[in-house]
Amino acid sequence: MMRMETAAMLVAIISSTMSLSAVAMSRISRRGQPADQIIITITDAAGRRERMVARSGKRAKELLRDVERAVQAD
Amino acid sequence: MSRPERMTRWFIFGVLISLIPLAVSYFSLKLDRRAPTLGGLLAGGELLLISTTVAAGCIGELIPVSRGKPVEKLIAGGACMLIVLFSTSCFAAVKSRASPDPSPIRATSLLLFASAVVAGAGCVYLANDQEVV
Repeated sequence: MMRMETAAMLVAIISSTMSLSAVAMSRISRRGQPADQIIITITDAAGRRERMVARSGKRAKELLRDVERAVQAD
Repeated sequence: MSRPERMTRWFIFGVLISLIPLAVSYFSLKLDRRAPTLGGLLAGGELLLISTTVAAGCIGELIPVSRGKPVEKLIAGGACMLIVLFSTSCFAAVKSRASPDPSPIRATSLLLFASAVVAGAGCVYLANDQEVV
């Protein structure tokens, strides 16, 4: 018959492994996710089209600033 | 609430504060001029109850914000549920014995408490993971 501490050791190992693998899975899936993208397409009066892509928050802010400047210049 | 803030709050108020009854027992034995031992403190299975409370509280952390990472949260919640069920069974077994042996109770209590803290930390960590819509 299994002793109480042996069973406790099994439960402790199983539950700790489950919990740690859940955290590891969450970190792996986060790393594997595609980065958020912001795509801005601007078409001028002549029909010329410019497409800008930002994959990070910093780049998106830069793009937004550029677009605001371009609008103000027009 | 940020993840470090949530985990610190859980560790202080969920884990450390729940150990106060044992600390009080320790100091009351000291005040009575008796030598407190770990086996003596844990012989009644109190730490099993504390492990149950810690693990159950962590399952509760997962329930209100269950958006995103459902599989990971199920695994972490299942780990805590396993500890809740086993600790409760052990406590019932300890209480049903007329003169329980303190040595296996001490080992079981410490093992289950340590795993409740590990599994609970996983649950609290994942509770902060919300789906970005």
